[in-house]
Amino acid sequence: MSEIDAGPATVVAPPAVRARAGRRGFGRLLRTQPLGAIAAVVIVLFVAAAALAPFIAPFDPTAQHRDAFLAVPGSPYLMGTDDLGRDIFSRVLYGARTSLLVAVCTLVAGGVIGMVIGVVSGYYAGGWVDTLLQRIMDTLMAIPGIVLLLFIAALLGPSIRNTVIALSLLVIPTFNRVSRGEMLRIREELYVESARASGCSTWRILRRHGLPNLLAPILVVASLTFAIIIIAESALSFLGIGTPPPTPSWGAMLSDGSRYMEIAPWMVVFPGGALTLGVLAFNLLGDALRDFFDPKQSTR
Amino acid sequence: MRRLSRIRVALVILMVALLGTACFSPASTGGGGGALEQERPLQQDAGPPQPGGTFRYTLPSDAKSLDPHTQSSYNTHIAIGSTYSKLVDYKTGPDIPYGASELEGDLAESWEVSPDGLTWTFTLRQGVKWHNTAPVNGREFTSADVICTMDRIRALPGQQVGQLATVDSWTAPDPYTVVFTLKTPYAEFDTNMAGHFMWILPCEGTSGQFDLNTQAIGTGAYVMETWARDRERVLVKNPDYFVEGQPYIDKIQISIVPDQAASLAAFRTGQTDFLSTLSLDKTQAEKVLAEDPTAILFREAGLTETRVFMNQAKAPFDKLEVRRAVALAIDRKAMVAAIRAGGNETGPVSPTLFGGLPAEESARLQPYDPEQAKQLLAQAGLPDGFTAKMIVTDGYGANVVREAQWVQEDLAKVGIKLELDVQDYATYFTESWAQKNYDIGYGLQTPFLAADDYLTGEWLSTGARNWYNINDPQLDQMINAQRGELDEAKREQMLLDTQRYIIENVSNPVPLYVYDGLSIYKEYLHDTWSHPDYGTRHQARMWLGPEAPGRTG
Amino acid sequence: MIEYVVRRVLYGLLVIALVTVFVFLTLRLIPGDVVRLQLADAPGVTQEQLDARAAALGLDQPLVAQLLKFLGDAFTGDFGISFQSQQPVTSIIAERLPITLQLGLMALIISIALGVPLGLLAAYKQNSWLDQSLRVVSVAGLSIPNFWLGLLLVTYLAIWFAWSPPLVYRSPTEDLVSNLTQMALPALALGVSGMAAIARMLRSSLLEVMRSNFVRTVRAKGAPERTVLLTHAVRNSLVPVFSLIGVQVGGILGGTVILESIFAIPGMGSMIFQAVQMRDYPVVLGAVVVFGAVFVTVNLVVDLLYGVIDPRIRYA
Repeated sequence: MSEIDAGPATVVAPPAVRARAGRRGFGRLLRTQPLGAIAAVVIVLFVAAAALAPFIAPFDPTAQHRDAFLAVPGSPYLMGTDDLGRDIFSRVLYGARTSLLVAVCTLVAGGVIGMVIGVVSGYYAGGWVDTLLQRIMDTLMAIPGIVLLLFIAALLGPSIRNTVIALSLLVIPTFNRVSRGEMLRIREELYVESARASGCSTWRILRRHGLPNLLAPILVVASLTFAIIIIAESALSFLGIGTPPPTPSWGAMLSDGSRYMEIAPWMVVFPGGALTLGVLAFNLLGDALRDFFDPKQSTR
Repeated sequence: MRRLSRIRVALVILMVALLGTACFSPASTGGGGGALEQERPLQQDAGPPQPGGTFRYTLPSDAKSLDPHTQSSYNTHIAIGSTYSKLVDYKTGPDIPYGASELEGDLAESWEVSPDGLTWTFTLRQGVKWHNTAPVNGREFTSADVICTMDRIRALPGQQVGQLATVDSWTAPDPYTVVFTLKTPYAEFDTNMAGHFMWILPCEGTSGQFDLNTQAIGTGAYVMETWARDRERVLVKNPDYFVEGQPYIDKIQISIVPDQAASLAAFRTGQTDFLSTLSLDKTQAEKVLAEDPTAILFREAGLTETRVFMNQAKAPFDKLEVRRAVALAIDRKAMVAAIRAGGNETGPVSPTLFGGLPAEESARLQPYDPEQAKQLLAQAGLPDGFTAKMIVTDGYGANVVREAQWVQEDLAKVGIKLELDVQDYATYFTESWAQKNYDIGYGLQTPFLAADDYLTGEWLSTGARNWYNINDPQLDQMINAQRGELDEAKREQMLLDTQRYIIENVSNPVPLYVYDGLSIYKEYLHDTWSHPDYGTRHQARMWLGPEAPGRTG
Repeated sequence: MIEYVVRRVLYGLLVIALVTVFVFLTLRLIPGDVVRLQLADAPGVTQEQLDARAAALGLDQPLVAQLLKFLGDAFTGDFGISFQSQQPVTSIIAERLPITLQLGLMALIISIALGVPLGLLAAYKQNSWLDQSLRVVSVAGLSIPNFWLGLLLVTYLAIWFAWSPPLVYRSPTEDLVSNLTQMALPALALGVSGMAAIARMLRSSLLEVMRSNFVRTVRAKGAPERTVLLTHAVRNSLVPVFSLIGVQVGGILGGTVILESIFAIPGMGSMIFQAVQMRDYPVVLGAVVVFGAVFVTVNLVVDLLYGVIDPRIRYA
């Protein structure tokens, strides 16, 4: 709930998610979860905008047009310019890159580490490995997010890479929690029992039976966490400890624009709008995926 | 810029360059934009002062401590500026130009200097009472308090020690006389005593009978009634103030509002009467004036220099051509107009100080000439430019980071590609800058009191703040020579020559400009004759018109 | 049960100790020389003066000794003296923690008051247009960055309605109206995202419970759907909602730097932010210990509440 709380705040293991991944197509998603399908389309558009930014953007996002400070949206500056004469439209496009880059990297780094810890811990539940790992996770969660983020920024300096490191630390416990919970459940299930009885190695059991079953809940958590990371990145940049200037970032644009809110509202409206729309899409997709993967719910 | 505590890191959003907006000078103003060209109208004669009412305003951050000797922070000194008094202070008023250095007695009734310039005798006002707060309890102020204060200043490390550097000893022959004996003649010793570290404290405070960090018991026009840290300060009229009839306003209420947008909203909705430079940007000022044409804009010319500095131990900044190219590649005029509320170009010493290069000459010596900058780079063997990392801190406020981006863009045009390294203030100051652990940087320089402070500190090869690896024997000799020169006119010439030499032959740190600050008053505030020195003594003479909301609410 | 609580408390203390040690050591790794920073004003500061200041701050001792001293003092509730303001850290936190707690509590109340009905309604009308639009509303609430919302509120309320929130924080006992007026907007900005999270969680956990065998039994007995939902299902679906709230309380305690700044609320967030930036070690450490303690306590309470809500849960 706090503004840079990418931690476990709003993502708790979805209770109804069960594994049935992979065997359903987008057509079915569209039919059963129209909102989610729309969200998926929006996300594809965002990704395309980010990927193709160099081709779409009419201007260099850091170029300062010194004949056009705070230009009103129109031609040639579709969304106007900021206080240094930079084209907002181009910056919003490149800002999508920053946001997506940070979110993807954080998810991959934090998600994988959290998952590995959760899976190992869940598999050895009750053992000393589990206890040790979970106490470390508790410790991580018991530190206020802002302290972790400030520490990383002060230790390593603000940069995209360091933002990813800091945010990863905050999402690790979330993924740990989800995958450990799932792992506990899977472990108890019969097929693992029988696999063990038939003499499979630990690693083999995990790989063959654990991971595939984990994918569905992880996918849901990932899409929801994605949204939170995007907001957290913008809050960090707003505070000046995220993406360093002049690289465009929606949060930094909001921070710059907040000083001109009454004079040049376009400085906050467009990046704020893009941010909200992007986050909304990921949240809706996450919701839809949750329902989609829930066998009970979809049969109703 | 070594004044760390002055730049309190408030919330990043509006951390303001306290340094810059804190010290102001009487300089004429240049640049500026649109609506702001209408300067402060002369205050109409509103008739005799009318006592009563509450004066309300916001500040973005609070004092950490109220002890004026351990804190050099602007926040601290304006917090206690109406509570404590000095021996002498700057004169302000309708007939005195803003920032004039004319003095008048504050706690001292009169003062004189012996013909040899070594003995300064201050005769104190009689019957001055300390605020009626325990443990001082309204006892009379005497010369013993001055002695206690001076002893404490000398005992503590801090910038204020420098203001007593020429003093050999102080004595109090009687309760209303204090005598300072100097080591060497110094004609401006009284100006030193008007400096903002020279608040006179009661002996109860210096001896620890009350905590100077949290309490301020003085002789000033206002008694500090409450101080809720990071929330508000409430000052009430001192009924025993030694100036007859003053102060006029009953109560001063200062709220700490970190966010600029929130401060602005409060002014707009009539919750406050004054927007300080710390809470105001150019475009916002334009907007407020457009909405409220009766509001009064006040432009305060700054002393704080903005600079690009380079580490001469790091290639390619060891080459004069490269440093000179940097100086010529920056479009100062457009930069100050775009980012600040206007300002003046500056040389190594702020233009308003004795011996400072006039703004016009600084501009002429460092023109915006990207073509020549490119040629210089080519001469240095870098026709295609080079890349480097530039340190900057967000501890001076968002504007400094924007300026760094402006510089980055300008330098990119001549082929110098900079990557910005935004550090927090603590890292920037104690690890990078002062440890000479950087290539190139952008930042502010705290104003010093005299030209010599700049030159000896920063440009002398052995200077305490020569954090640039400048080592130029000829420059050393020039700087040392001017120090020994007693003839004022000659010395001024030497100071100017030294700066011309620096610009042309050292070109580091590259001075850009000193920038103005803006503040806005509601029209019902009268006699707001302030002084750029830290302090708020002028509040004793301010009064509220009958239409002020602070009279009813 | 008692054994469980004792074990959890011991684990909690261990976690707090680990957190403290971790933060203590990390703080010292962060660049920035505290002593020089403090004496940055003094132009001709001597080595003796620097050493004296270091000694006054207790920084001349070996690191381990400093750590042990801090841990020992912290155990008695003494976190030392702030480097910046020279005030006892305990009293600084005592001033700010209640403010943050109040803001968090108000945000929590708003998010529950709005989130629970929304979640119920969405579950009751599952997959209807109402469900879909409620979902968009609640997800939108989750998607608007609360600091942006706060900025918009404070600027445009002043411009459009000539209204701005009070400038000075008053405690509820000083001036309740002013207190609530000032806290209302930030609590709303915070509560909106909590509302969305609770509504979503409640909806999905309700749907799951509704399909469970025991609800089927109740339904089979002929109870009307609404009764089933409100009396039987809700109680059983509260566990995940509580666990969500528990985690959110943790998030709130860290403070909300930007919202605190916008609404001039002197809470924990701005304190921690300034303290890290100015390398005010005792304040950072004090805040971290307090945060850790509250976090551990809240989670224990939430876990115990599970048992109250759902008697099937046993503590092992």
